[in-house]
Amino acid sequence: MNKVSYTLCFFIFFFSCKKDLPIIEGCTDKNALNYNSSATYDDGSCNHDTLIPYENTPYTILIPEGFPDMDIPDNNPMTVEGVELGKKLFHDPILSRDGSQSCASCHLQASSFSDPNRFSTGIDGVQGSRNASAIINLGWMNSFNWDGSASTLEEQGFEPVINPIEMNNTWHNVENTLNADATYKELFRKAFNIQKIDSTHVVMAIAQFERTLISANSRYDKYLRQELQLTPSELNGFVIFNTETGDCFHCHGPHKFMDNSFHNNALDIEPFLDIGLAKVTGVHSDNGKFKTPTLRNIEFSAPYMHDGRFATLEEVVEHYNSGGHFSSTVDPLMKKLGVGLQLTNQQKQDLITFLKALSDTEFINNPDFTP
Amino acid sequence: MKQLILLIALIVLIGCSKDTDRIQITNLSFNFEHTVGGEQLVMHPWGMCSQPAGEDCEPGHACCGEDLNYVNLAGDQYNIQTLLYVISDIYLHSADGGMQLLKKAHFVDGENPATLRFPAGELDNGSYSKISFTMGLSADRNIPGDYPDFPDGFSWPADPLGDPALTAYHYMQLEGAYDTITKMYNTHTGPLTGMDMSFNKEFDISLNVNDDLGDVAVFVNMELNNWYQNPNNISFHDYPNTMFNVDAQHELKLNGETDVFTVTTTNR
Repeated sequence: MNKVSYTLCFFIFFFSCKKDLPIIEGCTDKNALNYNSSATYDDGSCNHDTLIPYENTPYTILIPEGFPDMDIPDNNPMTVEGVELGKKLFHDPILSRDGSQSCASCHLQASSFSDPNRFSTGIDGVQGSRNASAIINLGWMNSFNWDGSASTLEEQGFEPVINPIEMNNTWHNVENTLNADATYKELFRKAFNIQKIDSTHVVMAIAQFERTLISANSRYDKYLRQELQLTPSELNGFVIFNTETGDCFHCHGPHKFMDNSFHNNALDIEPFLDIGLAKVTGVHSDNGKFKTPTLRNIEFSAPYMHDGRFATLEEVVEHYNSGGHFSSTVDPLMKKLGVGLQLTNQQKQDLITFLKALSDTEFINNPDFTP
Repeated sequence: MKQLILLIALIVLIGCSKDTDRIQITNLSFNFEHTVGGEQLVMHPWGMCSQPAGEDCEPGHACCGEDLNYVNLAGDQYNIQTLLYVISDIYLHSADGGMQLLKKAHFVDGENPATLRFPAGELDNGSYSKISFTMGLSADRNIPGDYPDFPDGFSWPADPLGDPALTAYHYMQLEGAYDTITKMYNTHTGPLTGMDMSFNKEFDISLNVNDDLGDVAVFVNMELNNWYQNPNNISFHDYPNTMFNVDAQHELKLNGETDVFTVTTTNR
């Protein structure tokens, strides 16, 4: 009799306790994305779709003749979806604090993705002190910005968004804005298989797009491929460029027309207003050195030099022709310092004609680069 | 019986222990050093002035005379601001006539310590009698695009007046100022059109590798002043720039072959 009583009491106690538990509705499937460990009642809201990885499509970079393979980071492989997303972000003012400026605001395709203004103006109307560099063939560069302050394209992408004189935003804001946008949520899911957008994946997408901005179809390239003949003036300019008459080739070598290095090309006397590379390295002998820009599409990317001081190619050639200014870090390659190249007017004109043979009009009109 | 077993165990233990201690792997490292007049190279000598570099060091300033810290046989005062070169076909020769390739081509930047040494692998026991290498790149090695690790600025227009696609590589870029810090020289060597100007060097060494030797280092020293002397006394006034200059290239090659390089070996 006692046993029966005890058992009965136990069951009564057990069920009464269970009744006291609150019913929490939610997804109780541990395999679902929105699994709620507190839920006691499955309300049918389980979302399984997003757990299936999206199979994005690898993007193949076509390496131009004479160019080496592009060094693409293992942790940011190129995909069709990543490039498309990067293009959208590049052109979308959503990254700036007031939604007024995109990357493309200062990097215009018609200017080989550089700024035709000497200094770019940020969202608050403040100007910088350097000309916005052309974004072209960056996949073959090993440092970025005029002073080499970024060592990867991904690293470079972090800076303009939070720069007070550029987009003047915070990454926290950007992430919140993008995460509230269903279209971007879907695009990021397809590009990176992520649910929550973060700054790292924003710069990864933009870097992927930037790696596709390849220009190698100028008249010079067509000449190398024996598809056309350069004019006598262009050929003469090429010889000036490629010999010690003009001595351009040491820094603007073949194919890429840049040397991935930094030089003081005798623009200024000391003290320098902008110390360039030394600002990053802290080394005195780097004072006044700036990254060599590519000469591809140079016709479209005026103004010239790190501070955009020269409006025309004629002014640039005249700088080298006059020999420039001595400073303690001037590059020994500026070997005709103070004397200059002493080119004739015809030679100067031929040199400029050759530089214009590096123009790739298909690149600046390529619809693949526009949203 | 127990004593016998203990004795055998002890012999085995000590025997094994001795063998383990005695066998050593011999790793070879290849190192590059640079001297001027026998003294270790000092590049960018602006710091030798009492004033900080770039502030008071202007033409005509007293401190600038000290910036030309070297003098060559021709009496030119000069400094060195850039030293880039390539050594290729680096071989280690066995005393029995065999040879092993240590590296196809190695790029040296005098300012970059990471380029002043490379590990050349493990050496088998045996006698080694010679080190050989090529200064620059022989014609069959000087192929555009073959050395993606070389800096872009090291390319050399192989046929500047002809086919623009014919690019090769410099052998050396040795640059700086002479007479005053505003006058630049560029001693650049490389192939002339259709002419291989690289040269081979061989150096006798005596290296007996056995289980006890330990790691070995080879040191290649480039005496930079010797590019400008013996047998050709070269002044920067004659050849401030040597690229595409046939006479200068030949004279530099002869000087280089004579006594620019020395090789020593050490083990730890």
